[in-house]
Amino acid sequence: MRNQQMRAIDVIERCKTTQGLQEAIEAICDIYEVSHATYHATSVHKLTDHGDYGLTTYNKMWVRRYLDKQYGLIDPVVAASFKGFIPIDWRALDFSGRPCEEFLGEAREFSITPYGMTFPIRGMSGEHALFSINSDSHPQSWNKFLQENRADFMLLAHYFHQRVREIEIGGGETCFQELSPREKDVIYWLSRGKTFEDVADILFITKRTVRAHSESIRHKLGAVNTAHAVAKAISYGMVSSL
Amino acid sequence: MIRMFYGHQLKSNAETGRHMFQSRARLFRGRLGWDVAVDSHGCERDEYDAFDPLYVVVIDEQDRHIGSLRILPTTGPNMTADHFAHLSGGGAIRSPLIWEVTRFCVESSDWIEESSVRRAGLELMLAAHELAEYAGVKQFLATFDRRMLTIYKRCGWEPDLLGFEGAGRQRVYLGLWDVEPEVGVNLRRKLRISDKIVEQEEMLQRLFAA
Repeated sequence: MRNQQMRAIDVIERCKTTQGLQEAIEAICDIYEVSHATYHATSVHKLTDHGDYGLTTYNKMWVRRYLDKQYGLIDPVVAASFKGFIPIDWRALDFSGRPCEEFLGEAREFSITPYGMTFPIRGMSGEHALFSINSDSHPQSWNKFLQENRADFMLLAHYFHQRVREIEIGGGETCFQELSPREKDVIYWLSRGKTFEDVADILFITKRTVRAHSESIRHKLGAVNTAHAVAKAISYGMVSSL
Repeated sequence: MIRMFYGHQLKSNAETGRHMFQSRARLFRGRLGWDVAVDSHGCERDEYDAFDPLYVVVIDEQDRHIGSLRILPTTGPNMTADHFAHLSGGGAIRSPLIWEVTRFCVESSDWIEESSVRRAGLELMLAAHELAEYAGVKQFLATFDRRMLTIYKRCGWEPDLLGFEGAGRQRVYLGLWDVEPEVGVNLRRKLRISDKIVEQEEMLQRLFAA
């Protein structure tokens, strides 16, 4: 599982162009064995000034059909995900009514199933984007999949969004969020091989607090785990001597 | 009864919302003397209510507000990052797996019984916990007043304190909680219920409705 996330983050990190992002989203599907993935920026300064920005693995004919028939106006996933921040299980959406049922029927012809989850992304400046996955697995294995991978995708969605911003707005330079002084302390001691317990003792904070800082560092650096965060912090020159 | 709605759904939860904002005014301005803005309708709102937070509210059979709290993701604009970062080590804690809780508020008027207040605190925490479990969120970060500290202790879901500032009634604490299965078990035991407090499917349907 960790390995999957490591591969997914690696793929996202390596991409340099819009085409690269498209390949990354396809690779994420392969890595997690889901049928489809979509990234959709709805409100991101500079990126969506002239309309939405999207990358998807859906069949091109379906995408064209979707846009031509303006399915965005009736698609319950779109309606539910324009606001809010908790992940959206498509099964909780209301697909009743004739237009919606027709829409769903057509989607099925393109191998899109009701087993999907949309992860809303909310950024520091209040920007909003979405990352969705769709699977053709059975209900039970889908539940198990969500149980095991939800947190992964919460992180991946934000990380993918960050990479999109770097490539489409920032010219491709990696641009991570600044670590706080306390986070720098934490990563420094972790890089010296200390455990969470050690770090807590050294910094006079609780282990739970170390975990929160570590979680925040992981998000800011786009890392899978502590070891990965330490490696990244070192390669970015963030860890020197105190 | 638990109600959950986003800021953008306040229109369809107008009365519950108004009672919540008024109750917040009574507590934060009235009892605690915090420097918060209260409008001509007696409603307390701040800039973070404009960032489409998620509200969790407990109401009684007469639809009266018993307690409420406000959730925002720490990846976006949030109060802890903007105003209390110095309490968490000089910079904002940000992760999609950590949510912020603010404006935790339980009613304390004469008409309400102490036991309902106590129950409301537990219910709010359990509802927030269940929502976090659904989302895969691992921790809660929250600012709160001294009285809440007692309530958290009594509920058996105590935060680690990251820091505090101010004195007396105006003192504000920053705390951190873990989301873990035992918490749900403990809170349910205290509430003497065996199932989830929120019927998940119904709650999600409401939250995802336009």
